[in-house]
Amino acid sequence: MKKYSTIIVLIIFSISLSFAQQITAQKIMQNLKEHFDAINDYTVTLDIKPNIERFNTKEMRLRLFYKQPDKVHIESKGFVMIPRQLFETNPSQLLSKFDPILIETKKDSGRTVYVLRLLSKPEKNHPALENYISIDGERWVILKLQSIPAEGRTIDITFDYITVDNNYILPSLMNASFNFGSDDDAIAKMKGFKGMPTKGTIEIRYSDYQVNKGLSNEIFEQKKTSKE
Amino acid sequence: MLNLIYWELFKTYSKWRTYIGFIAVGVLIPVIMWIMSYSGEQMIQRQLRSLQKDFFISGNLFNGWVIGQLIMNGLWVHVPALIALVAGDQLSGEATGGTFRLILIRPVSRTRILNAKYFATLLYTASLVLFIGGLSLGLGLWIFGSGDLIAIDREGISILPESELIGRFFLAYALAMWTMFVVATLAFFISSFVENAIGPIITTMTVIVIFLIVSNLPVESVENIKPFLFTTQISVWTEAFKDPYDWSKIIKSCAALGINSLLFYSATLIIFKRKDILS
Repeated sequence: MKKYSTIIVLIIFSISLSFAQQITAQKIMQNLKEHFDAINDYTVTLDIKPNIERFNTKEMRLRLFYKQPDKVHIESKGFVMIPRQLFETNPSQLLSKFDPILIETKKDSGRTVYVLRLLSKPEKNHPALENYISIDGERWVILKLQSIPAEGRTIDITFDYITVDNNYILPSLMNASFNFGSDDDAIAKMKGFKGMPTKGTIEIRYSDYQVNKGLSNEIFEQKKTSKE
Repeated sequence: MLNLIYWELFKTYSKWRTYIGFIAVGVLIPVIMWIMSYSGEQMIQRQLRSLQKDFFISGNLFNGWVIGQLIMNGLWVHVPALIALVAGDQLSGEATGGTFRLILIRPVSRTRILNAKYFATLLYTASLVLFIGGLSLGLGLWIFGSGDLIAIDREGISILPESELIGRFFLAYALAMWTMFVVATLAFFISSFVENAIGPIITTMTVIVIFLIVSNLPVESVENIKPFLFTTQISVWTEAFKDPYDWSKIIKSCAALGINSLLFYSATLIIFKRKDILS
């Protein structure tokens, strides 16, 4: 009897394992989206520390307002510069703009991590974009994003997370490093200009989260600084 | 001495040519602002276009401070002519008017008279620079508002925070004033030779143009001469918009400009003290 029960347990275990292995890229993205959809809106303070060649600026601070599905508004006292990819980590947008392909499932610090290749859906007059994202298979958040906006240009973004209000897992730290190749403005170089910034890192610290407080749509319509 | 300076200032500001510079700047700056209000923002966008492909950029980057800096950049070629217009008339104007004999028979030394005239020239120069600064920043901030300053030079891009800009512009105008003192002293020096004010104005501008050409020649044989030409240091005011400040470069440039002024003034003093007044 004991022998049979062991066999049954083994069969159930192997069946469940095979189901786990059959998780698809679409399902992973869907899980990511469902987790993110629990957050209807949030506001957060961003402290941005850039370290970019030939680009000299002090640390920047801004207040970011987000509302589903893709409303973003920024309030800052002065100049701010944020990698565009930061706004392109919204799972709904990723699902609508890219076709995901699961290329690797691995274990990292005991957690299952899925690595997906995202290839932009064909769009007239738009070059194909290629992104690679690593997704935490337990918390369903993006751990890493590598974007290749064009040949020879790369942006790598990694995220750390915190749990807000004991419920929502949101970024606490983002590190972006980018390399846009060389600046080919020959005329500017003839004049002695060393070129536009092409390489560097940006560290963004998130603090003072306010989640699901019911942000009004007016916030996103009032100023030109909003990016929608 | 103060009395002498007062009368020299009175004479300088009694001539309508003194106000040509103020009128020219007073017309030109609002015209530049008007043009900028139509196409200035596009200019900033164009400069940042390659960055905007990959970064979302926010903030009022087209503001009064940017306009103030643009005007400084554009006007430093023309302001020397306006300064020479008055500085070149200080000594030659007396000769033209035949009043040299009258002022030099008074029991006041030639040195004191020359010092008073020179001081009045420097005050005019300072007042014109301050007028440019006050008008371009005042009008610019009123029309375009405030914000951080984007400073683009050969080394790259600097974003200077709004809180630092009053100090930086103060330094920039102080350095510009110091540079323009050399131009004024040169015109003053040339005016000690001649009896017609047109000569010093044209000669000053000719010297500036020739020096500027030599200063910008990318030829090794003139590299040793360049540091001695005041035109090499004429853009020292741009150092006020570097972060961090390159104080050693600022001090060296100011010293070179100071030496130029001192040499021109000393030569003027020697010539003026030995001058035969024949008119």
